[in-house]
Amino acid sequence: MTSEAAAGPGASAPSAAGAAGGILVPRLTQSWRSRLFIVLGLALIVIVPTNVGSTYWLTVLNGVGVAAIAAVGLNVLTGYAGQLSLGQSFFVGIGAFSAQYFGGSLDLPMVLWLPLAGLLAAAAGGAVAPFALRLRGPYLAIVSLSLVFLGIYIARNIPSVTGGYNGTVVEATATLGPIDFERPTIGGLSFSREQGMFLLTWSVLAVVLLLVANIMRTRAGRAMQASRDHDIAAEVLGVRMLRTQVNAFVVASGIGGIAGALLAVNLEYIRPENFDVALAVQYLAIIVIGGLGTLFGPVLGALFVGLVPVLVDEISGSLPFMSEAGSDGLSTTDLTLILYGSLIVLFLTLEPRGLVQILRRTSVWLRSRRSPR
Amino acid sequence: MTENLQILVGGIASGCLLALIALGFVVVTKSTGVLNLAQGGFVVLGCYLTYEGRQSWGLPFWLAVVVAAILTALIAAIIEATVVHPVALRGLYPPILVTFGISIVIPAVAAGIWTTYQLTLDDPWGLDKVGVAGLTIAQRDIAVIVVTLVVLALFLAFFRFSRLGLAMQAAASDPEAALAQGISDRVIHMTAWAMAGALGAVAGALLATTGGGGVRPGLETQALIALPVIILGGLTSPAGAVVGGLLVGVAQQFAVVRVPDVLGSGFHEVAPYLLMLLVLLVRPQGLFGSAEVRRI
Repeated sequence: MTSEAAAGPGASAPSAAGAAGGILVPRLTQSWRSRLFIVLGLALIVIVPTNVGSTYWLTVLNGVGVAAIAAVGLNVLTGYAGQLSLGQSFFVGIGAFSAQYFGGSLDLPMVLWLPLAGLLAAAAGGAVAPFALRLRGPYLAIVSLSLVFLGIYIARNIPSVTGGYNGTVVEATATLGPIDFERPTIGGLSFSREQGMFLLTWSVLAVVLLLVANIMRTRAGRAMQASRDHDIAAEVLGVRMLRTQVNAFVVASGIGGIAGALLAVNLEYIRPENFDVALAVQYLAIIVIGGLGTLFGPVLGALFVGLVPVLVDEISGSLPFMSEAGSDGLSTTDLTLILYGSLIVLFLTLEPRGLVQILRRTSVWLRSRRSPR
Repeated sequence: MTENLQILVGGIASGCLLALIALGFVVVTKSTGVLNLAQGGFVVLGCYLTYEGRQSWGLPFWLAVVVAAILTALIAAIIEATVVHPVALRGLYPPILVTFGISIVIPAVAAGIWTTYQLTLDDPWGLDKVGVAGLTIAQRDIAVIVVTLVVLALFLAFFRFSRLGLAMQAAASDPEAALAQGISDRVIHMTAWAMAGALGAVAGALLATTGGGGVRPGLETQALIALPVIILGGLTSPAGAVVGGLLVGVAQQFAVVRVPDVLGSGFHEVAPYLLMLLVLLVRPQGLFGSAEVRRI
């Protein structure tokens, strides 16, 4: 088993060819090293919340987890299927408000409201997809941007669901069977709400990552990547553009909707303005900084982008040009924006293939040092 | 009838401002292929630098606007040369995101320098109005329309008669052939950004006059309203930018006054986007854009 996997996808080809009717399906993990990373990552989902007590850090990491889920979704559309979208926050918003509607107003359990939030957002994505077929590059980007504005407008005008301008308190409860993520107890020990939310958010992220990794190895997933690399050539080879496009949009917005539902229970209070252009662009920045079209790029990017405000909080006290309370000068919000913007610019000029590429280079460098030729 | 005409004039004035901002987008897109989201930053720089010229250097209003436009053009050219140019040819996402990064840095820096209070530009019109043929028109609206016409004339003259303008047209129609003829793409790109900066700055200064609500944070979002304009008109068509700007301006003004409450509040904010979606359903390349020919 292990030796076969270590030899790479080629070794499993004969058996796979026999079983799957000639389609070569590589294994999900190709080496013991990546398996080790996966086990380590899964362990961290439990180790981190049970050992980090700081509410501040857990809140930051929960935000990172939610942003990572939304970004993984956007990455399907933009990174794998090659459709530039500035509209992910629209789908995240649909997920958030439907989580509150189904989980709060209708009082359904989480096994229902979480998938429903994803399904509703996915349906919206499927409805948008055919339009995207006619638009290319920057045109699609701006049309997707208009979704965000339309979404905020609609949300403001259906106060019975969204609370209108004032927004709404999120009453949906995060309980799964006997486990209450808002007041979790493990083996007699009870934990804080933030710790429970960490478990929930990062477990969902792990499931979503597995889902995307598998989708990208199916026929539909390969069709997406082919249409990104060269849409006309892909069409000539028999890839149906409409079906591929709809698939990409449905998966991307469905995952976005699930992220929105989790964002809603994390924030506990949502307003239409939460889901604005800045959020959409933040998701885009995350996948570009992390690495477009890579599985773990969005997670790395979300960590990176999520830690900028933390950095600002740390250093703002020691900077001379920062404003004191009530006087002129730079506010911490503005400093965050400046750092965030400059980091995007720096990253794209110095390493356009993202953090994933930096990691890859570092690991190659380490390996070459260990075994000098 | 009179009231409709009144709305029309107001719409044309706000459409002129949109057209100026949209022209800034189009110049950059046409000559460098980059969708420049930093245009909103230039709008902000324009109005704050005009304020600085009035307050600190004591310049008269129009001179302050010209100085602000020149300074913003310089800043835009420097940004292009240092940050944007290295990524300009690296596909679709990197340039868009780099300009987005710039667009969030500029307003934040402006807020740090000039505070977030509402400032007044002390413009020559204030809230004065004049009566023309039975209509009451704000003097600011007239000034905006006249300035736009002058800027458009300068713009056309530059592209029609100057050597650099002709070179830019050549580079836009075939970058490689232009390069082979000795046209420097660096100079072309910098000039395009400088023009975008100047256009944004003039629009920003006019936008922030007393009639427009003064100099305040958040003016960069005006550039987002210009995005449907450029899509409506076609990304690479200057004529489309002007026509699209006027269309959107007038449509928005009518939406403010005439749309019934049934459609909910804030309809005028999304009206430009709805108009854009309608046009795109029929013509995916915009009203004046040329359909892209693609080869395998």
